[in-house]
Amino acid sequence: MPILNIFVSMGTHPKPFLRLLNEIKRLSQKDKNLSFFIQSGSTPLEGLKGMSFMSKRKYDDEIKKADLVIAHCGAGIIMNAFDFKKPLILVPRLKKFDEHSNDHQKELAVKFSEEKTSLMVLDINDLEKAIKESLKLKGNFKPTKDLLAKDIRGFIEKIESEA
Amino acid sequence: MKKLKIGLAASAGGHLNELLPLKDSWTDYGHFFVSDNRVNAMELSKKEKVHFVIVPRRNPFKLLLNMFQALKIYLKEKPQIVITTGADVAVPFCLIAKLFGAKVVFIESFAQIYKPSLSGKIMYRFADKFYIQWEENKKFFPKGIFKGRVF
Repeated sequence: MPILNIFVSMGTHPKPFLRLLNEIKRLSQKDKNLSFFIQSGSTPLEGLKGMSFMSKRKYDDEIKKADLVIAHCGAGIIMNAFDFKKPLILVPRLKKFDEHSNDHQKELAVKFSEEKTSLMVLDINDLEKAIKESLKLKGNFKPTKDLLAKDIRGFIEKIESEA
Repeated sequence: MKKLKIGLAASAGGHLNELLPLKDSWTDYGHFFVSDNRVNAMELSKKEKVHFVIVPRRNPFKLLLNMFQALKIYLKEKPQIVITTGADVAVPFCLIAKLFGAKVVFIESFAQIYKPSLSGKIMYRFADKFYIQWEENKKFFPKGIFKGRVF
């Protein structure tokens, strides 16, 4: 069985995300083919491999190395995972577990998983299954930033021609 | 280098991260950034021209200072177009530029699905082009243009 490199992003939020950390701990003990690297933020690593914060260079390198990204549903990591074309599992921080002050992350996760560009995990017990299913997400994401940039460029050129 | 100058305004952090991927739109135009001195804006200033302004954060004195700084920057640079992803750091600069006749392009954050951002609500009335990253935004930004996202 090949090693699966998984980058886990917990963001910079001041509230710890122990629900996700504990499940990562359980999975790493259960399946030695899963290799996790955790950007832990305010969450204690408890012996797992990772760093609370890191340079952009290191962060990008770790995402590039990964076969899969598991992330709290922060705008930054979503963009980065898609930019690097990595299968993405979103584990939104939930208000009811005191992981965030609101359920905005859940809203985002629901929309992205509806677009089939990522998987959403609400019940942490579903994470193990999601990891197995995630690799079939590969190739679903189609970047659109060139479309948007082109439209803006068209506007700029129009203004330029009127000047 | 083309003659038209473009101002790129965004609060440091997430807003700036949503603006940078669109660089193909302003490439080979003279341009400069307006941001604040946190995280990625500091990194950006190593290779791009960045003017720093204070973060207003709902403090009236800081807002006033931000506006004064924004005016100084505008008068120095005189961009014909300003492209912005918000937020409070960028809005005064965009409004001042608009006042002086510049065109403003606003891109609402993809983090806003069901609720408009405050800077979006303000800029919707003044922007010459207003982009949204979710079709759902049309409920509160009916004239918003959807052309995909910043990734």
